[in-house]
Formats: sequence, structure tokens, C-alpha cells
Amino acid sequence: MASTLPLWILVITALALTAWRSRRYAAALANAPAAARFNRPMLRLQGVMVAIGMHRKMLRKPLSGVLHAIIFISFFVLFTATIDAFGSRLFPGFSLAPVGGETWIAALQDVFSVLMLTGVGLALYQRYVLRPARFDGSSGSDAAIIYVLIVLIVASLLLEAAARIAGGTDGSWRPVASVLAGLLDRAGMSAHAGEELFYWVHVGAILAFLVYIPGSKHRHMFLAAPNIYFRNLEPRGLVPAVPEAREVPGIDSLGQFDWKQQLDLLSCTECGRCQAVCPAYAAGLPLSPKLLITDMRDALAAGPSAAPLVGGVISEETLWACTTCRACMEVCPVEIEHLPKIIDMRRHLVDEGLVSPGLQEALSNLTRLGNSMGKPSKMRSRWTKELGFPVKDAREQPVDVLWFVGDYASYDPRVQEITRRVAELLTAAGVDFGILFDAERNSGNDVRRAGEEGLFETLAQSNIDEINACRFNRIMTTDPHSLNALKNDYRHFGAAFEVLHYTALLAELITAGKLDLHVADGARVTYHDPCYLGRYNGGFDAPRALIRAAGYTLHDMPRCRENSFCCGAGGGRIWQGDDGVTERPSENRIREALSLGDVAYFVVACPKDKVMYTAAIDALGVAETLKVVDIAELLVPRTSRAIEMPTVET
Amino acid sequence: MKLIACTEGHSSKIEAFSLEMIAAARSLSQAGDKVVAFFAGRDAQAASASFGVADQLIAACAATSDLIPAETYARLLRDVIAVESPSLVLVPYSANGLDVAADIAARTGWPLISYVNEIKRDGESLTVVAQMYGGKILAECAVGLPAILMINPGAFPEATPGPIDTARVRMIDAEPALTSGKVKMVAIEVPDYADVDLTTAERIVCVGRGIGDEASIDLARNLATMLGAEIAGSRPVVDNGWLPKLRQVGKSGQKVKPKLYLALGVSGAPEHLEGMSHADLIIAVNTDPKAPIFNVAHYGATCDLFDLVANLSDRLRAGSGR
Amino acid sequence: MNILVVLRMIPDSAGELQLAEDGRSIDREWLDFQLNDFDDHALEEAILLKEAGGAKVTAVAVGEGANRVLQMAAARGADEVVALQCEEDAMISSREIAASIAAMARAKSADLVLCGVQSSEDVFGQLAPYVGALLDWPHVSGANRIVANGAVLRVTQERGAGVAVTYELAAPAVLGVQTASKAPRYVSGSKLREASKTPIGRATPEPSGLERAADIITLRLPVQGGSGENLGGNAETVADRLVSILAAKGMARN
Repeated sequence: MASTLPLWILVITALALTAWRSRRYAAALANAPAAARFNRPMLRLQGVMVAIGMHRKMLRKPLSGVLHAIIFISFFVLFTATIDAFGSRLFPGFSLAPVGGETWIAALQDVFSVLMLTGVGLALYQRYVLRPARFDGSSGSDAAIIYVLIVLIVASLLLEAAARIAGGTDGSWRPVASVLAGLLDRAGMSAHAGEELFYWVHVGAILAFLVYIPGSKHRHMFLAAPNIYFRNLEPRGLVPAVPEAREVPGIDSLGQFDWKQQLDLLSCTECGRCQAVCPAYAAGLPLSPKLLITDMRDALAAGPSAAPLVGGVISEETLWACTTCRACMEVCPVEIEHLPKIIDMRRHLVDEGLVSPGLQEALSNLTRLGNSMGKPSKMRSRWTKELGFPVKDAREQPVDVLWFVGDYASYDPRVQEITRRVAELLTAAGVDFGILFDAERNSGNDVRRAGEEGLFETLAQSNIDEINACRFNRIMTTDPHSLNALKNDYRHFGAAFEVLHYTALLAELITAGKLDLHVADGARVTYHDPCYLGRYNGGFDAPRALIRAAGYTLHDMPRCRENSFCCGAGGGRIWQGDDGVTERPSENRIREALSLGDVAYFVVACPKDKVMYTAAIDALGVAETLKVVDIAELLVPRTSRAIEMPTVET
Repeated sequence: MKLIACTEGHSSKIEAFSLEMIAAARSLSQAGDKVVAFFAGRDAQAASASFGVADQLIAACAATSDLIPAETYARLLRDVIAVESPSLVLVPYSANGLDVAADIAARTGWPLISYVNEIKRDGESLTVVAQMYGGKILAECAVGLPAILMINPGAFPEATPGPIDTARVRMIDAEPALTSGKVKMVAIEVPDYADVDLTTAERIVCVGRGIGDEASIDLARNLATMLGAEIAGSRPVVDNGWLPKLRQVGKSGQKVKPKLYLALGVSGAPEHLEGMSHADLIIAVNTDPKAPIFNVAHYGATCDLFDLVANLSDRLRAGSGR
Repeated sequence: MNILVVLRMIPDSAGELQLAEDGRSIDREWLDFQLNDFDDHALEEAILLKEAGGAKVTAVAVGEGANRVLQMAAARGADEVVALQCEEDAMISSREIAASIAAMARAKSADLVLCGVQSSEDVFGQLAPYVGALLDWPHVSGANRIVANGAVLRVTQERGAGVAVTYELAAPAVLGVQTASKAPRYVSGSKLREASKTPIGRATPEPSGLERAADIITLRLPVQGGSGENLGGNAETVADRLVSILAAKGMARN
């Protein structure tokens, strides 16, 4: 056929252009440090099937999910047309007709062309009419160019078939094209000329699409699946350690990121789901997880340049804004890992001594005294003095439960009362427990996430040595941050402790009939899932079971469980000032609780939450309508006298 | 015995604590003793117009310099000590005094006690109370004479200012010492008070949520003006935009260490206490007797803060009119 | 330029101080010790001077935890670190250690000795003027900016009420630092670990040479502090009391 040679030239040119446009990414990935992401292939494949086949995360946003599914499925069906279009002319004699190319495949192509156009129509409606805020900062022109190319490809496909039908081919398997053939006929277009024109528009648009993709977010068509396949299978609460091959703790150039971290950058679809859930972004801080990724991606595309990564491409303020709440990673449909990148860049800042005064004070206190408040170690156990009974020293005698108390629960006067309440509940349930007294150090959870790896190691090693010297069965803590470090991060040192959140232990005691509670009259309360208990460690149900067991009716906020909204304290944020914050995340959250309209208590299960939300309620001046109570305050053993709960007007 | 009270000034002013040094020396002197005021500065006018309580004024003056550096001051003082053979030299705890006192002590071998609040004389020996550990501990010390004491400003009342008889003034030309001095003054800057710096403020009136509304801030501001204090706020007050961020005391604001901290309607969250608990004198007013601010306050009152501000303002106004 | 910087370990200001049984010292058994804050600034200024114009910085530390703080100094950029032996469980009197510091300044051919302007244990006088006088070098206390131009130093001193005075003097000199030009930098845990291999030199103390000294007879806690006096809830009587309290402190007027 006369068009074979021109088409070959066109295809080869397009492939060459595409390769040329991808050269920087390919080189970056080829030169990137290694990442161990090749284990457990079946599990990896299974995750890809669920994420892509079931559109699991995509469908959490129904409109986006459905329209994407339509376009996605249509793409596969219409790919048969692409094969046919190129195959038939590149290799004369090739045809899909023997397998049904002119019958059922043709019918599918005909129908899915319309579906594809419908999907694109929905996408246009979403992007240009609904305009969700998560698209703020995404490239509008990139999306528009892609929509135009898809419409061209699909329309030319239909019109080419229509022209063929107009030229006498049987159109009974192509109802839509048949209708269009009638229109072409009426327009007086020559069937043959029309077929050629639409054919070349079709293949031209496809090749343009191919050439365009390397510079577009539509790379995700090719990279989403591998990026999901190579996702992190380690526990969510384990920060990747500094690779031994790296000489300094942190990262200050893109090339230092391993290939998976770089692949992340290329896989981003700019969907903005991360931005929509980010507490720092909501607070007006200069961090959007989406722009964090796309800014680095653009820097990667631009190749080596004068602008440094940390402090240039990504500002210090951006890095320090993150609360490490993990909401961004939870929602990302392509499993991009934002946090390891932020933490690696923070490690660089910390190593250079570039920390804010507040963080410096906390870290210096932690270095010197093992707590962020700058309090002497021996005051750590002072809260026990007001208990009516002694607390066992786990270093001296064996215990069943070793209680890792944590800084806020030990030192903050607002939390100490809750700590004592927990001690009383454990005693009422007959639990044999003890603490480490002045030998306990901050768990290092947020120290590590603030990028202070060296100090984290010092703190962790000290705690591990102390814990290993004790005889106990399980570790319990009221602090989700300590829970996470002990349970996950300490694996870095080979420590494998069984660590429980107090909500899990108390729920277990109630189930076992060891803790008999006063039952309240069903008053409505709401519950805030702490990031490090829920999203990080899956502790969603025990707190809710406790609230029910105490006789309260739970009215969850719209953002609950995996979608819980961070209080703003995590990842070292609690040690930093709130310059630039337009709305504190904690106040945003309290407003959400108030909007429920019928809850009297804002129930928390994290010492930092008690501090953050008490301050937020004070700042909003709503102490009369909503009280922050820890779950432990809801639980009143029958053996003790009834405790008056604080009253609120509702 | 002779007592030398060291005094200071720059330009044509004398520092207020100079009169406290003279008063301290006077209070220790007995019949037959002599209180000598030593002054070094640009000119002796202000000193001779105020130091009448002293028996003698020795003034080392250099018209060419607004300020005599401590190194030169100490050399001049050493010459005076050599001539006068005093039993006791009182130096103020000031930037200048910090360089003078130990310098003299090292070169004479005399004992020195710093941060002195009280002095009791028993013949030829003294019992002195000095602050240690930022005032957390008081040390009672015995010291034999001759000796040097560095006195905390405010520990002794100021002597009544009055002129000293010219016959009792000995003038020394400080120019030669200034010229041969190893430390030369090249600039003196007096601050522009347009921007507030709470961290260096000596007195602060801080309002908390208890102030209620923005309009009431003015009442507190007026009281602050009367006390010569800076107005400051706790986090909720600054959050509400009632005071600028520069005036926030606490963890996320300024850490302050004033001589007077008057907290009005401040409950005292730990973050707030962190920023101010080192103040020398903390007075807290809050209707909630359990407010944590009372844990760090030296004086606490549970009355209505508006009643108190009104009453206190009235009394201060009356006092200044006297 | 050779810079000697002095680091004194003092009881943690956040801790509660209790008196020892003899009543003449504080109970040091349960105390945390930390670097005197002003000395921390002196160290920072020394490192800043080194970075600005090149210098060899020798840090000498004295007191409990000296080794730990010397490692920190090495991590921040000190070239040599030395622990000065001292009497155990005793306060660090600047008057006592001045002769040792002066001897070390001579031994290290120091051009500049930097230390904090004060410490909470210098009741018998401050270190910078003692060392300066013993060496007969010029000294300036309360420095908050130091610029070295060869051997000529420009030192800005904080005085009361925000007045700042700048002096010029030639090295060798002793400076008592109030505030470093930049806040003391943070040293990361990994840098600290690296610096933990730095060898720490030892120095034995010299006799002070100052025979006549004052003695502490007894220590006591101030009456106020913590458990404040309750003035009650009547605004008028409270106002009366406050006026007299303020008057007694000389603060009842502008």
C-alpha cells in the first residue's frame, strides 16, 4: 500500500521524539540509588489489581472515580482500533477481521467511542464547571491538550468508520458510525477522501499523544501501575532508615533519591486528592503535597540546574509545615510516598543546623534531658505522687504490662490527670503494671520525623536498653506517637515488642469482664481518630468500642477513621511556632465537631490531642458548648464512686 | 574608715542607680567614716548637682568623650583607691560595673561579692546577702575589709539628690588616661523605641482572655502607661487581633524576663508560663482561684480585673499628682 | 588567631534547687547540669569568628558533664577541646578558675579569650574581668557583636535601657559575651556521634593566687516564689496592697 512507507517514517519519528523527550527521566532513573522493592511479587501484583482493576481509591471520589473508570475501560477497548489502524498499514495484510474485527470488536469500538466521549465530557464538566479546589495549582493546559487529543482520536475513529460505511462497507455492527455516515453523505464528502483524511487525523492524533505524554501528567498511563507495584510494603509507621551507602543523613539533590522516590515524581497525576486532605495546606501554610511532588518533578525534567533542592526547589517553610499525618499518602491513587521525601530533606536541614528556634530548643532539651519540655528526668514520674497507690518500678520487679508513659502524659499538667485516670482504671481491672520512672526517654517518634535521625537513634537505643532490662509481657502506652515508634520504628534496631494502645488494652479488659463500667445515658459524643493510632496503626475500633461500652452514642465527624483530620501537632510541629497559619488545624477540626450540632464531648485518645484541642476550644471561646475529654475520662469503674462528668450546655 | 561609692553616667546624664550606691555607702557609714563618690564621665556637673549626700566627690572628667570605657574607669578608680585607701568599694551591677569590680579585685587581691541585696556591718567585717542562681538562692556571706561589693540596682533606696559643696569636689583630668586606654569607644547608639521589644522590657502588663473584648485592652494599656510598662497579651488575645503578634508572651511569642509582670485575666497555660515565669515579680489577677498562673505568681488576687484596674489606676494617678 | 573559649557547667535553671545538709551549698546529687547559656553564646561567637576570618578555637570546659559539652563544641567546630579538672560537687567560682584560664591562655598563645558575661555561680565575681586583669589584657563584658579585623577587634556592648556602645581594642583581649551575633547553632545527633571520637585533653587547675576571699556562711531559699501571697478578692484592698508592693520596689511610678 502506498501509505506504508510514510506511516513507517511517521511512526519511527514519533517514537524517536518520544524517546528523546523521555531521556532525562530515563537517565535519572537509571542513575538513581537502589531501592529494595522487588520482594513479594504476588502481594505487589494483588495490590495493583485492587488499585487499578477495582479503582479502589479512585472511587472514594465518586464522580472522578466513575469518569476515570469509563475513560480507562474505553481506552482498552479502543486500543483494538489503534492496533488495527497501525497494523493494517504498517504490515499490509494484517487484519483483526478473522477474530471479529468487523463484527463484535467493531461494535464494542463503536459503543465505547461514545462512552469515551461521555467520560471526557464528565471530566470537562468536573474540571471547568465544578472546579474542585484540589485542582488548584494543577496544570490546566496539560489537561486541556489531552482532552482535545482524545476527542480528536475518538472522533476521527468514528468518522473514519463512517466514511467507510458511506463508501459501501457494511455498517450493521457500527450503529453510531452508520448514523454519522448518513451525515457525511448529506455533507457531500467523498467516501474515499473522507476515509483517508480521518485515518491520517486518527493516527496523527495518536502519535501526537504518544509524543506529548513524556512531558505530561498522562505519563501515569504507563507509570501508575509500576509505581503501585513497587509501593512500600513495610509497616506504615516505619520511616525508611538512612541507607548505609549515603554518607550524610539527608538529601539535598534530586539525584540522591532512590529510583522509586524518583518514579513517584513521574507518576503524579496532579489529581490533588493529597492537597485536599492536607492539614498544613488547609492551615494556609506553604505546603501542598501535590505541588511538593510536581515542583520536584519539574526540577527533574529541567535537568541539573543552579537552584538547590532544599531551600530552592522546595523551601524550608514547606518542609517544616508538614505534620506527618500521612493523609496525603493514604489518599494517593498511585501510591506516591510524600513523607519519606520530606523527612529525607528535613534530615538535610537538621544536619546543617537549619532549624527554627522552637525546634532547636525542643531538640536540645531532648538531647540533654530526654524530653522536649526541658524538665528534669526525675520529675517524669511526679504524676504518680497524687495517686492513692504506689506504681511499680518495672526496672525493679517483673510486671505483666510495661507502661511507656510518654512526655506529654508525664509532664503536661492537663494530661497528668488523664494519666492518673488510666492508672486507676488499670488498677481497678487488676492489671499488674509498672513504669520506667526516670529511665524513660521520649520515644523519638516525632524527633525522627523532624529529620533528627541521630538523636532518634540515641533516644531509641536508650529506651530499648531500659526496656530489654525489664521483665514484662506487653508494652502499653496512651500516646499514639510512642506506640508507633515502639511498635514500628524500633524495628530498625531489631526490637520486636508487642505494643498496645491503652484503648486496645481497656477494650480487651472489658470484653474479658475484668472492668465493669458505669453506663451513661447515651449522650452523643464525637471521636477524633489520632493519626498515629488510626491511619498509621489501624486502631479505629477499640476506641469506638470503649465509647459504646461507657454508654455513649458516637456521632462520627465527616472526616473520620482513615480520613481523620490531623490536629496539627505531629512530626515536630508542636515544637514550632504557628507563623503563617491562617486557621489552626485543631480549630478547623473543632468547627467540624461543632457542625454536628448535637455532641457535648469531643473525645480524644492521644495526650497531644488533649493539649491541642483544649487550646483550640479556648481560642474559639466555645468551652461552654464542647468539652475535650479523653476516653479514659468516660470510663468510670462501678467499683469506684460515680465521678461527676463536666457539664456542658448543648 | 572610707567607703567609695562608684557612680556612672554617659553624655551629660548620671545613671539613677548612682544615688543608690551613695545611699548604700551612707547607710553603712558610722561616725568618723567618710563616703566618697567616685564619678567618671564627660563632665561633673550632673554629679556635683546630685551627690550632696556624699562627703566627697572625686570626679574624673574627659570632655572629649560621651562615655569613659570601663577599662579606663577601672584604671582611674585604682589610682583613687591607691590614694584614698578605702575599706569598702561599692560598684553597681551594670555593664560598666561588671568590668570594673572583678578587675579591681584581681589587681588588689581584695575579696569581691556580686549581686548584693543586703549589707550588715559589724565593726570591721560585713555580712552580705547576695543572689545566686538567678535569685533562686540567697547566699549569706562573711567578708573582711577591705573589700569590693557589686550591688544590685534597686536593692537600696536612692539618696535624695542635692548639690555638693565645691570644696568637697576633687576633679581629676581623665584625658591622659582616656588617651592611653587600650579600649576606645567608637560609637554610642541610643535605641529607636518605635518597635517594641518585650524581651528587654523591664515592666510588662499582660492581658489574657479574661479581658473580654478589644475595647477593654485600652484600660489595661492606660494602666501600663502609668506604670511605665509595655502592654502584652497571651495567645488568645493576640489571636483575636486585639494586640499585634510582637506583643505576645509565651512559647509562640516572646520569652520575657521583666522586673514586673502584671498578668490580668491570664489563666496561665504552660505555654504562657514558659514565656514569663522567670520574671522577677509576678502579680496575677484572675477570678479563677485555680488558674495555674497563681502557681508562679508572687502575689495573686482573685478580684474582678476591671475593678482592680480602675482602683489601681486611681491610686497611681493620685500618687503621681502628689 | 587563637581563640580560647571557656564553658562552665552549671545547675539546670529549670530544676528545683534544694539546700544541702550543711546549709552552705546546694544539693547537687539530683541536679542536671547544663552549659552556662552565656558560655554557649561565647562558643558560638568563637565559631563565627573562625568562620569569618579563620581561627583556631580551643574550648576548655569545667564542671560536671564537661566531656559531653566538649563533644558538642567539637561538633560545632572547636579545633581542640580540653577538660579543666575541678573539685567535685562544688560550685564553679570564676574567681577560683581565673588563674587556670589565664595560664591556659598563655600556654595556647591565645589572642582572644571568650567566655559568657556571667554565670549563676559567679557570686565572687565574673570571669572575663578576672582573667583580663590577671593577664593585664583589655576586657569588655556584655558583648553582643564582635568583629575581628586582623588583630583589631570591634566589640559592641549591650548596656541598660537598650543603649549600645561600640569599642575598638587590639588583641590579645578577654571578652565576656552576652549574646552571639547569631543564635547558637543546632548540632545534629549524627554530628555529635561523629564528634564523640574527638580526643579530650586534660588540664589541672592552678592555684587562684587570690588569698583573701569572702565566705558563704549559709544559703537560703527566698521567701517568695511558687507559693505566692494571696491578696484576696476585694479590688480596693488588693489595689492598696499592690501600690505599696510596687512602691517598695520603686515601681509605683513611671
